[in-house]
Amino acid sequence: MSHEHQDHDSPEYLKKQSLLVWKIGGVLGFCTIATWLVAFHDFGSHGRNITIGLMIAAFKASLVALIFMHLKSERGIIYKFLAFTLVFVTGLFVLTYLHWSDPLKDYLF
Amino acid sequence: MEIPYTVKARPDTGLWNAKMGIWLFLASEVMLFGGLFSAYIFLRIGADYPWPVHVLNPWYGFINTLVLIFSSITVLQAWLALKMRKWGMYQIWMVLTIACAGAFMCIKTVEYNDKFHHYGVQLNDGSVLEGHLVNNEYLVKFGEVKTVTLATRLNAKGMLGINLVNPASDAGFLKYLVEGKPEFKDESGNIVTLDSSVVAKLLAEATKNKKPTVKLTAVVPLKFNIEPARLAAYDKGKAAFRDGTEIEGKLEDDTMRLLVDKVDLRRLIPTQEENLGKAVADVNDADAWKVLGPEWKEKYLKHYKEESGKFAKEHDKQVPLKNGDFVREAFTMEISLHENGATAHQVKPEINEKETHKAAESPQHMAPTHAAEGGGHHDHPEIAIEKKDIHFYSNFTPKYNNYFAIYFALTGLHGLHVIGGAIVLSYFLFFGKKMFKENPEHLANRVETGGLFWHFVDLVWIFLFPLLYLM
Repeated sequence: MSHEHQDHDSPEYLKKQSLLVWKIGGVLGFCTIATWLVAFHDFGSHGRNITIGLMIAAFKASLVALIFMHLKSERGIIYKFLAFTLVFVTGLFVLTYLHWSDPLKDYLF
Repeated sequence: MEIPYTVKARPDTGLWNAKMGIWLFLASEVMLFGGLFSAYIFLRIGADYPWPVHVLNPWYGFINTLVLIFSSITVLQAWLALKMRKWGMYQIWMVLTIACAGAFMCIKTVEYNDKFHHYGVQLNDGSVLEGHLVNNEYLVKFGEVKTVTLATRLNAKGMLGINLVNPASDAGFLKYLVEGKPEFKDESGNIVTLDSSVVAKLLAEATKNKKPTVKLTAVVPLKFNIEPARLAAYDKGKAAFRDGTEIEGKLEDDTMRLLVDKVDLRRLIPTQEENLGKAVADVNDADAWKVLGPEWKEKYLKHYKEESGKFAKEHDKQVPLKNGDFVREAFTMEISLHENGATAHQVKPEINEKETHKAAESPQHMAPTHAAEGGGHHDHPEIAIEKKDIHFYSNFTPKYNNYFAIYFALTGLHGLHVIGGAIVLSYFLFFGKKMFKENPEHLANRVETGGLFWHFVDLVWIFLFPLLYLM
């Protein structure tokens, strides 16, 4: 829907999109059930459960972003915005990690 | 003035302007939620208490996830209908989207309401009992109240004319009067019947005469049942309300009555403890058993044996106390009198009714039936906890712990996004007809912009569901 190509507005293309949306919706629903099942299955440690659960969530989020939000066929400038944002978001998480593994704290206390 | 590039793409960016705008906005939203997710991780890693896992009813989160996924589909179908110039279909899909937003918020409201009525009580040794207050109330009862002292605030104007504290007594304390008429003798011996206007008049007079208090003597002794949250402090003979009003009488009862649905003993185990036998010995003498009774202790020990046996079978090489799942399962126990309770280890104990209900005063207290979180109806034992045994108590709100603080921050902000998105989409639905007739592609682009925001709301929830409800 993002590009101005004529074929993206054709009824055939739009009908295909409509069907695709339902299919992706089905996959997302299935993944939601999988997330639930994974959470209550013993993978040996809680950390593994969290990792697997978040991997499924990341897969679902990718589907929403790529298909529902049309990032798959979007202009490069939007990727640049998002890459710029990602740097700062990653920074936030790294700062959290740095606090967790503070070498000074480990040494002094 | 006509806004440029609402339909056609700008030559330099290759995008129509609103799309450029919404993606910039979404980038800032990524930062906002990224910061909050980062805070969640920070709080979880640094928690000096057992981080709550599986404390929320996952059904609420699960159903809401499906509702949002469905709404993402419907908003896309609405946009596709516009692209195909089908106004009727567009309306149907958009109504469904907005209905999903309503359903999401309704479920969220029910869930929040559960939290507001579910309490955790930490006893002095660290044992935690969770449950619901009998009749949803906890009251401090004062009888034989003979004196009420109203407080004025002389020179009450705060900084820039803003009072950060209540400027003086108000008539709010009268709400808690349960026995006797509010008839008092004032300092001159006149009989006054207190209500908000009389209180205001007495205080105005005292302020004029630069008197800090107004002392009133009850014509007949009164009785007050007061919510603890309204009190600044109290002892055996006096209670001070937060607005400065004081009553003098006799503390009759400040016992908490709780329908217990869970006991959590994890705080009794030292963080570095690795000796399972010692940990069990620690929880054997927990204060929780003093209020719950020996029958529940027996049930707990049986439950513990089952859990440790199961763990030994499945994880023979692991140190049990280093496994968070084991610690959670073995040192907490659901408590229900119902035979078919929510968890396998719930067993109907042979409880001495008199023992369990000895604190109950009225007949309705003898039938402890409550809709426990999770939607099912379970019977939970009613217990009485004396105030002196309580270290801390709160409902499941940010005051209780950081988990609930970040839970409410994340889901509350997300909920506001749902409401905001629904308002914008409703505008496109109810006021879009004219634009559809004049420039349908422009309306389609607007709906696409709103839809992008809506998908982002869905995307955030995709992470919130496992993090808050399942892990």
